[in-house]
Amino acid sequence: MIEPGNAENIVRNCIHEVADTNEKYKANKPLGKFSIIDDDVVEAFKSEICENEEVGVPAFDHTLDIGELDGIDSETLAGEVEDIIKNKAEPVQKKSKKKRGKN
Amino acid sequence: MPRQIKLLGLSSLAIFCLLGLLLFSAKDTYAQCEKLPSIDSAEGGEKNNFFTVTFDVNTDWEETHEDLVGKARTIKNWIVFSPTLLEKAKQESDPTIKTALFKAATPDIESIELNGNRAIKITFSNSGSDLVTLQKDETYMVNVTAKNDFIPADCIGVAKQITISAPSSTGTTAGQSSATKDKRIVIAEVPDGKDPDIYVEGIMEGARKEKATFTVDGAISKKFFFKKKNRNYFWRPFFNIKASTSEDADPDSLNFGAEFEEVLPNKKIPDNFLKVIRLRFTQAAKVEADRDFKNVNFVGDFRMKIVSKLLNRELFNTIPFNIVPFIGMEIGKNLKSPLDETEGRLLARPLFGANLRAKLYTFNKKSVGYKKVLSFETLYERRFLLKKEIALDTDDDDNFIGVSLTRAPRDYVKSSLTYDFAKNFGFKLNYEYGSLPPLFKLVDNKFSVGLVFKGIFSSK
Repeated sequence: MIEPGNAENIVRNCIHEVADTNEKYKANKPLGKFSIIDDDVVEAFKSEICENEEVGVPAFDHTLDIGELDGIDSETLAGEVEDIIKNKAEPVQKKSKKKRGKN
Repeated sequence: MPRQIKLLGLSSLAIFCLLGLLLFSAKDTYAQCEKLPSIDSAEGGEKNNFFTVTFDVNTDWEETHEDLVGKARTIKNWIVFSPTLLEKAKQESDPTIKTALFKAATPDIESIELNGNRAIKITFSNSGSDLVTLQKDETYMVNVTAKNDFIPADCIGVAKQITISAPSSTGTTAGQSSATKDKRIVIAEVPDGKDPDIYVEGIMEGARKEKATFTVDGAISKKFFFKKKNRNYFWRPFFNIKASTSEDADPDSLNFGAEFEEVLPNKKIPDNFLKVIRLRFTQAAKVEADRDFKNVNFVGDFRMKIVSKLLNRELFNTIPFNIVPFIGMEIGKNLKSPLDETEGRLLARPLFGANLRAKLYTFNKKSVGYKKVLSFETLYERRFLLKKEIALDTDDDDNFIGVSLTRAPRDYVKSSLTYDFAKNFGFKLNYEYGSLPPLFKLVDNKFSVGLVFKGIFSSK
């Protein structure tokens, strides 16, 4: 599970990845306040959350299906996006190394 | 007499001051206590192992939010119990049944989490087991009490009680499926900036001794998400129509088809001076026609949308706006034409354009839920015809006549100032110029005011 503080960082940083905004981050502000209003920009924001390896969910060794963010839009609160990340992100399954035994 | 008047005046002033003082002190107490949010409604979860409790927040939400987050995460603040089951447990003589009834009457809370800004999700501890935590058709009481430092001492106690019924389904798979079956599709409000799933703009114009004209701009679509082999896709069937009975202002254009998009993984653009962060590629297969289906084209529409950080910002530090430029190509074939010489022709149209959205003003910003919004949107697109296409018009008898056979570029621009005065309704002031396929009938600087109905499909 992604910790609440990390979820906040993901949302905060991904907002700044897609929009050049001076709006102070608060969980109870809608994404529209951070200049994320157009559908295409919302989609870019979702992609940043799910795929950005530096500031998105993958940066915390988790994965999140973009479908989990399907309902978000410009009126969605930043805190709601944080909640989705906290509840739906899954830890990355590390591939188990096969032990090679001697015959 | 003057002294009496003086006394009367002084006593009135004293009463007025006293009343003011009382009101002020009452308001002050209220101001402290109103930070305690009361429960507005509560709803059972599908698996019968959680409730979602919605708050009625009457205060400045920006101030109360932090309080609520603090309270929500303190389990001891929450009590959920069933009075009827408690009564039954009291009367039960069998100790085993009595214990079970007590357990059912006071389910253990496992976690409390903030689910959005107004809703609290209360999950009970034996979720996932075969035991149904909340009893079928049982009524429970939910209390929220203030026991932490966020709430002033005067407000400690039960904030509000509300009676809620557990959903009739049980925690079994059958229960879940019945809950899923009960889901209804409703038309919900459209958040500003989001493309509506259903949209109808209608204008009726009439004058004495003249025929009334009707104009409609409508669209219906629904976006679906699916995942296959770890790759994410969207597809969206759509239907759009723009038509008018006015001869001088009739785009006479409709199209329907399906749009498809793969969410490309790890396609982040390297840092660049234009601050382009994402490219979105959409493909659509569509049929474009006039409203009488006398001219029909089958077209593949391929577009690349450019999302740049430079174009998503605030104007004057207050008005958020986005500009999304796009380039693309429409390739297809004419299937039916009123003129033999144009029938069966291939079509190829490179295009570019941009969409601008600005949220000019939000009314009642502090209120929770729906807010009235004043917004501005402009779509501009220019099509370059690689193959000659005929621009058609009608004569007085409504018969098609060829006007020109040309490769001249075709522009289309539509600007709208929208005031959403109700959840699904708004007024729109439009400016429109240009022509749209397949007929490329010129709409020559048309201004209109229309009533708009719009919504998104949502399951409830």
